[in-house]
Amino acid sequence: MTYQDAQVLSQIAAFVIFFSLILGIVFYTFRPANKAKFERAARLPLESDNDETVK
Amino acid sequence: MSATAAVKPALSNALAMGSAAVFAALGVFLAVNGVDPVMNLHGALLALASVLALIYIFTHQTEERSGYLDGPIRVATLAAVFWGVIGFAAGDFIAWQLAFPALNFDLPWTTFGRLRPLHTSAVIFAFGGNVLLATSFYVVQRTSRARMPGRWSPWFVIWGYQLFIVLAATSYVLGATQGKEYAEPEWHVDIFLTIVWVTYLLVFLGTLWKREEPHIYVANWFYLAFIVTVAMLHLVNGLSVPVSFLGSQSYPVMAGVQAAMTQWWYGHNAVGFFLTAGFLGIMYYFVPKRVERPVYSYRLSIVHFWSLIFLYIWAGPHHLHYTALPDWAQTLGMTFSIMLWMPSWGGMINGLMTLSGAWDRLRTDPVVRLLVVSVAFYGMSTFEGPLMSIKAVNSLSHYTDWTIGHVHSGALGWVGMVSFGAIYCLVPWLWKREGLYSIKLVEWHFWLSTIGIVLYITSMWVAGITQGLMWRAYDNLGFLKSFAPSAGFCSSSVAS
Repeated sequence: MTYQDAQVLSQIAAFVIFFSLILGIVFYTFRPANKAKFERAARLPLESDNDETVK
Repeated sequence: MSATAAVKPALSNALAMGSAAVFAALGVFLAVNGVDPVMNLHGALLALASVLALIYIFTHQTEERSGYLDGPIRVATLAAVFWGVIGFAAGDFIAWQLAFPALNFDLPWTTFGRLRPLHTSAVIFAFGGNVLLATSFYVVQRTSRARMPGRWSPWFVIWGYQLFIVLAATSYVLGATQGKEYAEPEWHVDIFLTIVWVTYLLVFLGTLWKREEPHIYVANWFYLAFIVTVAMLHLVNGLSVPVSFLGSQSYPVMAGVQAAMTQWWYGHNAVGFFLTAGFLGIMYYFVPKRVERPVYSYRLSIVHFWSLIFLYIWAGPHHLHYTALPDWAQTLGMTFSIMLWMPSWGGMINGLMTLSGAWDRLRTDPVVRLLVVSVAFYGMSTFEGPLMSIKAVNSLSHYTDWTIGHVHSGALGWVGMVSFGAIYCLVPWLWKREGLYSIKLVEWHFWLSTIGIVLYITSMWVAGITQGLMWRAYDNLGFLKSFAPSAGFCSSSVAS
């Protein structure tokens, strides 16, 4: 395998991996089923400082 | 209520005392056998710190355990303020040296070249680092509803980090440096920091592992990205071969353009992950907490996180425009820097809009004002940064005071103000006080720093652009172009 071949292969592989990763993240983020989970998560800082809940 | 329980973890105590004893022995060995004064001094400092730790652990084997572990956070908060004062004073002093060179006192230890890294390391790593240690330990425990694991590890992280700061500072003043910007500490200090940092990572991960809350809050993602990436950057950029295992001098593994690219991959991601991702973790916890409203869009925060870390890691080459670095790499760095506009401004909007419906807090609470204005400075300096990464703009701005001005609008405006906003929140929480000693003084702090930063950056724009134009006043052969008002001046400004 020449340097050129390795370069083209790695570029294609990196493109596929990173692009599908970001698509997966966007899908996870905007999936309607996750809406309630994120709304609850957004409230975490507001209800978290009391010592009584610590394990 | 989780009851206060007295525990005496025999294994943890033994391991901690054993480690302290090993470090103490190593310190004594280096203090005696080191081949240069820096190594002798560092050995002595390591031995002293380890013996103190050993005595403390021996006399504190029983722990009153209840709730969250806040002791190390209190130490880091005080340390941040302490190092902050030193770091800001050092910056001020070297600024005076630029105007009055006699202020270097003709002594090697107080020259600009040695005090400048002292300033940058003190403000970034000592002040900023302690703010990040304090807030990350605070936030990860609260949002996970879990106590930090380990009896002594969190303490080792905090005190080990302070020792790292002392080792780094003393080596700069004594002239031991790798000569890499923001990565000046020599090989043996790098190894010590690695031990501290890996422990930090483990304590942080251990808290997440123990968490009662199923979801990992977005601030923790930013903190984790900061800890992991800084570890990676530090290890790769620090690769070097010591001249002697008993001396402080070393040579880097890489050379030439590879070394330059690695250095600025490190350097820019120190900005991206230390000074940005870490402090965004602060923003995502302290802004919602202080204004008592959830973050404007949690979904946007997730997209913000992933796009920021995907893009930042490639932006480093913009520090090497018009150098021996291949053109394609320069263009790549510029392109990714421009793309960073999107996550940066997405994050800024997310932080600012968290105040929607609570804008009155901006008028009534100067701590909120510090936090919000810091986010505004974040937006401004992350607009300016990509602009300066464009090659044509960089040809004007690089190697001038514009760069220094840009760094300080980010460092003082964003990092400094979000840090002080967080410290003003943390101190009453940690010491269980009703509120701050004086809100009036916070008002003074806010207005003095805001006005000061604006004066700083505007004067540096004027100075920098003037300097950039002066670089262009030379022709290809290095001759000053004619300033004859008829043709020369006009052609020089048109041609460039």
